[in-house]
Amino acid sequence: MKKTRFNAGFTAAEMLMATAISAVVVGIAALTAYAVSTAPRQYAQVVAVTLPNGAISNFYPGQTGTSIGTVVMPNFDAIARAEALREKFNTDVAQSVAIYCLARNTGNYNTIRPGSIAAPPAGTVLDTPDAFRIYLGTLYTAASTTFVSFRNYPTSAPCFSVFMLGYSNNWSAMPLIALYDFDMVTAKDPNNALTTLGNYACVRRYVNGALTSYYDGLYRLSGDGSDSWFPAVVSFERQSRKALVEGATSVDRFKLAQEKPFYLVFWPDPARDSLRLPTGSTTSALNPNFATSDPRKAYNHMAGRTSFMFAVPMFPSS
Amino acid sequence: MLMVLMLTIVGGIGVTAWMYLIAARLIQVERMNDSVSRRIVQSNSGAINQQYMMTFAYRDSVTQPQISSLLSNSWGGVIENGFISLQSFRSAYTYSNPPAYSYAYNNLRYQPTGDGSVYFTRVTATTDSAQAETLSYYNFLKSYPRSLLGDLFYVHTKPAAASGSIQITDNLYVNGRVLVYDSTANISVMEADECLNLTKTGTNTTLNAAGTAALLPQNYPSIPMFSQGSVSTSSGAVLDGSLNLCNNANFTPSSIYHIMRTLTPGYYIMTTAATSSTMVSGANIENDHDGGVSGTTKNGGSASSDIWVKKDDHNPPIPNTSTFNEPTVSPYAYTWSKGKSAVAILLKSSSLYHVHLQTGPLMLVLQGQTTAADYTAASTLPPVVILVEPGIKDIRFVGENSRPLILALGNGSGGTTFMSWSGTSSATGGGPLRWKLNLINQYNDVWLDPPSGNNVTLFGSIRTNWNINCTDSTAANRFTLSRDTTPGALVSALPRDAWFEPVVIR
Repeated sequence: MKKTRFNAGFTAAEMLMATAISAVVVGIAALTAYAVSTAPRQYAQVVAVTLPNGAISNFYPGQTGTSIGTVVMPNFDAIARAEALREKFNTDVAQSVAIYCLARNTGNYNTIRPGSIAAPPAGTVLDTPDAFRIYLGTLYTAASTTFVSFRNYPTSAPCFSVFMLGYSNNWSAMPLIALYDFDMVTAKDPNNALTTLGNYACVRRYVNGALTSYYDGLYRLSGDGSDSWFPAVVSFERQSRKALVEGATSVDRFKLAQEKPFYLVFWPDPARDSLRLPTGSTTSALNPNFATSDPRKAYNHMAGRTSFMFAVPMFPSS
Repeated sequence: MLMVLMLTIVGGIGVTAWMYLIAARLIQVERMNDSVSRRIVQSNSGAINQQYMMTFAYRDSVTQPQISSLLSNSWGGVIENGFISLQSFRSAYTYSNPPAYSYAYNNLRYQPTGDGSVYFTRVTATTDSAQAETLSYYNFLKSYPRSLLGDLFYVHTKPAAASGSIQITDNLYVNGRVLVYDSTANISVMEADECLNLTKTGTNTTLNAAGTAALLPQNYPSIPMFSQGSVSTSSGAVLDGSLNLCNNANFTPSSIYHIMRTLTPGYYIMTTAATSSTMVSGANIENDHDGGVSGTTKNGGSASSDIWVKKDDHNPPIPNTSTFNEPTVSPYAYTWSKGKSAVAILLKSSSLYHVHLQTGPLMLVLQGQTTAADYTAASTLPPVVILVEPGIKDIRFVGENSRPLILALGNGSGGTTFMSWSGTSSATGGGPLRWKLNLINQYNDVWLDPPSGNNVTLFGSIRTNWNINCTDSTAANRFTLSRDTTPGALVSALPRDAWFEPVVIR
């Protein structure tokens, strides 16, 4: 009796195909399950960290203590808040008369957040951030210890404050339409003060001393020891200043602006998991592929590390 | 089979979750795209607004209807509100004399005016209502004679016909700020306190005040600052840095020729073609003043006349001077021509009219004050405006002068103008001669000649688009240019500079 071909179940070929398809599906499912299962830790983890004394009360007026709950980067929520803050930043820039980025060392928290400052007396030229820093020092004694002097980029200070001055209806005062503070401090384990969890970074906007918006998060240590965010501000001057030779490898390379002097400002990206330097850069040789007369020698390692980079004119509306 | 189905279901769930993650990322990217587009639209709208202002708002007595200017595909645009008979260069609004709207201070630089403000007027615009976000632009059109704010020396772009580059003497020290519009001008040996280079690529600057090293130009932006608008319907603000202030029929608000015809008490002209016999505004000096001069009468007036004309004579007997022989040193040497005149103007006279020396004279003698009493008294007199056409080769400054003075050397062709000072200072203890002077040099090769053994301090400003030389062969500071801190009515007599400050309201 002749056997029918349907009485033997699956053929070997059919089983092979089904298994292969299943393998593909299972493989995708496994990857997806991995991504989904690991996501809560990487995209939504909230941890409590201990910040240095005085940090929290300075960053968030009205708050006290040293412990704060924050998200671990990368974090979608922090990205959303950072993008909202970026919109405010760009809006503030467009409405400003002058913008001065002042550098601060870690732990030197900015306490100068007025609604307006006195207009400078005759003879005061506020054409560089350092000129503004010096002038600010005549108004606030804290300025001299809060901010460090820098010409084009700070030599070590990773934190900064951005003062945005607007139009006034009074010859004796300049309104501070917004102030942005960026700080990065060491975050410790609340259960073990000797354990460093990473770097707590936050960008905050103040108007007349009041915190209006911010984003923050914890960047875990990368483990290779290269975690840093420096320089977060680079200042470029008018090309006409090449008239005075001040050093091709130091100052002159930043004299590039034909019309308006400008800054490059870098905020840390909440989409990144750490602040490690890119491959090829070391803390002792940040950008080894650029000549010393090239301004990128100072900051090119910041490229590709964040989508929150700004080219900010120093005098947008003047 | 069951196992395969289960795997397919589980896999499907996994793939769906994965795709949702991808979709979330895509949505985020789309939102970022919106954000970037918003900024581009805002920037485009701002640029269109500025372009419109530069084209229309700096014409004189201009009337414009409301105009909508939009880019295609909603990439920005503005609705410019209309304005009627707008005269931005003639506005009299200040902080203490405001219109219905307020003054917007830009306090980056001290403005040493009576009320800390400058002249301004304002027009408005909004972004297109079809755009997702509406912005309002308050376009402040500001103007002021910036020489009264501390910008004392202007190096304008050289004339198109000029060959070579502008040369400025090393015997001049500017006790204020130098503005540079010409990237090729050689200003490397003059000295100044401050320098702002308004060119895009120029790297020319002055020496520092001590004369020891190049002065670092200020880092302020190169915004358009201009002294001319246009009455033409095809152009607006003149942004090339050129100097055209002596006689500019295309824009009379900043034209000396036209300004002096609007000022009190009136003006004289001097031409070889006399047309009037009475001393009124526009009367001919040569024929009308103190009997005038003619083919036979060679002396019209005296040392005490407001204007004294001597024909065929280059050596009028001015007090405290001996001779005014023409210079013999090349390149500013010249030979006196028979039939030409020397004109002496008495600056201390309260009845003096403004003067336009058009044709006829070769020499101008500006009689300043030679006593302390005259010097003090003259400081209270109103400004006097003197417009000199290129025919004059020789200008003499006698004594000192505290009367506000605008001396405009008309549109030449690069010929020399010799400017020589003489006398002594009536200040206690002597010292350099003090002269209030706002000099406009339009394409003349000026040679400054200091008094023998003494220096000169000029209180005012110098605008030039060609050479300012000095007869002193050393590098000593023979001339110092300082700000006039008591300009008085000069504020309304000097040509203004204008600039644009938009305030964006969200």
